[in-house]
Amino acid sequence: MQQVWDLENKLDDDLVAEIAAASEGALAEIYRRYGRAIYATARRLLGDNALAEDIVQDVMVRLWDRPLAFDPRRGTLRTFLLVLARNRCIDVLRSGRSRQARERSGYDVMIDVRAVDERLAHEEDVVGVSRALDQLSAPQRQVIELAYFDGLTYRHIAKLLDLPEGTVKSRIRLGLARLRTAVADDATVQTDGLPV
Amino acid sequence: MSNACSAEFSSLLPAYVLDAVDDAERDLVRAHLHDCLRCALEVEELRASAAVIDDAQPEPSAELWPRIRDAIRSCDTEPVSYEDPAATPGGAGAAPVRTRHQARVAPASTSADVDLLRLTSKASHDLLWIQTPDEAAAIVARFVRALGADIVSENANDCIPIDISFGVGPPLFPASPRLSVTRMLVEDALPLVVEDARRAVALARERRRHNQ
Repeated sequence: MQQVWDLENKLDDDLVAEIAAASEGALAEIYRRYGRAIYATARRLLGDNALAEDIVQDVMVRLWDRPLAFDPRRGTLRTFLLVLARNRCIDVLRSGRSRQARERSGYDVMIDVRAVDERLAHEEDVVGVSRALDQLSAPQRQVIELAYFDGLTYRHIAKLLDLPEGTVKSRIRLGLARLRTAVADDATVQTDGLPV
Repeated sequence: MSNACSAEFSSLLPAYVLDAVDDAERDLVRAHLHDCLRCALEVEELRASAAVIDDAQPEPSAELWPRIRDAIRSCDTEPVSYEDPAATPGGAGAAPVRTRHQARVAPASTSADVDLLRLTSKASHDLLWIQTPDEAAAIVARFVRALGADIVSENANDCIPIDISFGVGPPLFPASPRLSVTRMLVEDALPLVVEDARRAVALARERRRHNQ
């Protein structure tokens, strides 16, 4: 049996190869790396914790079932998994399974996928607003969320938001820099608050 | 720092870190990072920033991973696809379909299970590394023969109608007498291996086109 540290040091591509060879540990490591991001993406889209966990399960089982569907030349494993999650969420929204859950959570019922996309593009706050993302300006946050959670390229984002591509790239750069600064500031504040 | 470190190139790095670039740009950046320490360091810093986003997200419940683990182990309960060769007529009935999940993770109870597990896993693993369609065809042919089936060049009586030539030469089909254990194993396990092989062939062709 492989040691945990061994799996932790492996590249995503190698873990996928191990999944193809039936390594449950490799799948567990992928879950450790990306389960949280998949869950966050599904929560944002569905507004329901239980449904979001179902989506994470679907995505993991799908990877286990068809590891070769992941093509490392076409993007990272993270993006691949998030796109799978997003597609599953859209299926769920289409099926209306989440209607009741979203009504409970106070969101409008929108089955139309285009409406879902528009909502994703323009809605400021869906679920689980993080403190880190709160540090960003609204335009920075919007492009980073579309890239990070929805797997869109900067070109797609530029088209979607009707912005120059350079503006989108610039907002991503500034947003990431801001995140870095915010975390550093936060760490400083916490350290300053410690009793001497 | 190489000449490729233009302002336009550098502006790609944050989007690259979020995987928000297209395929050609991704390849360009990857190649460049091999040669440029400055950009590689910048990417590391950007990755640390991006990791903040994940860290700030809520976690799923602690019960989720055990649920997933159970799900991948419980795929044994799929519908029946063939009768258990070991079962006596009128006995307990058909065995569950031997899905790929089952071949991978279910405890192997017989030497046939062990062989199927080993062969399927090996074929899938070997397919990850092919460079040409010929290699995929050879791997699948080896898999078919290892299960005890023959390979014939025409759609004859005992052949299984799955072309395993992958466009290399004339069509080739596995063949084994109907109702034989070998045929059942091939019919069960081959479709997923062929699916993997087709995918691997498509990727190999795409890589070749890209490199030309």
